[in-house]
Amino acid sequence: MRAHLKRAHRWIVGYAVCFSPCSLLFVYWITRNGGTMPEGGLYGVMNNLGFAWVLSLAYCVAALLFYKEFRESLLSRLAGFREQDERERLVTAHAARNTFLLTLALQTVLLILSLTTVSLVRNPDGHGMLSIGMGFSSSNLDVWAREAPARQEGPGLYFGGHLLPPNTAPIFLLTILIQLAAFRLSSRRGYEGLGA
Amino acid sequence: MTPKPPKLKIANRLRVLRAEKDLTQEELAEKVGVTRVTVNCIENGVYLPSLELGYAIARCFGKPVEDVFVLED
Repeated sequence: MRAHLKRAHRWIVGYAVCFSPCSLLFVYWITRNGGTMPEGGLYGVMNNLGFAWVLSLAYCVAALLFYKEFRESLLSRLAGFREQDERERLVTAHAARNTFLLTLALQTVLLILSLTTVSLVRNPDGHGMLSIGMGFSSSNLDVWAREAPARQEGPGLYFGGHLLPPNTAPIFLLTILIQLAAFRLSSRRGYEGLGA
Repeated sequence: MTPKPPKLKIANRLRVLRAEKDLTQEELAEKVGVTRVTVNCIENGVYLPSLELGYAIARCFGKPVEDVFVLED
């Protein structure tokens, strides 16, 4: 049963990869024809193949998240992991540690920037005032908002707004928490001497 | 806080033993199941192998492990 599932997985991923050029060419061709597709046997077949390709892509995305073996084989190849012996595994562990901490630091900085507001006010007497603040409001939670909340308008306001779109804050927060939780979960057994 | 283990300086006679046995780094690496770069790193003291690999290397030369890896004062 497991062998059948693995074979099906290979077929679906292979189809998603191999049909990509055809699918992109087909979409390009339809777009050039004004977005309409002529009726006919071959076009119908292409349409069905295209739909299957979209489904296979959706499967690949889900597999990337939930199928550990696939994720590790694909992403470790992409990142250029080399783990042929103990020294290479040690080098990989050091590199992964540094990368993890750097990414975490970068995400924390981005989180803070998304919560920071800066306003530069020019008073009528010629003096200016720069104010920097941080805040978290319900607008930060509206991840699917089409646009970031409008800047505050006021007399003499020269510039005012967030340094990053404020609705990105929950995404940064979520990824930071997931990374920390995933690391703690996967390292706990190893730290307790119970194997990785 | 866990106390740090003392830093020991461990030298090795890999180059000499390899020459005696007329083995290349590549051949030794293949015998103990590591890459040639790893053998090179061990030889130059850049990398200290695990106990398991240390014993595998010593067994490859037919010598006890303390004849291959020497604790320096």
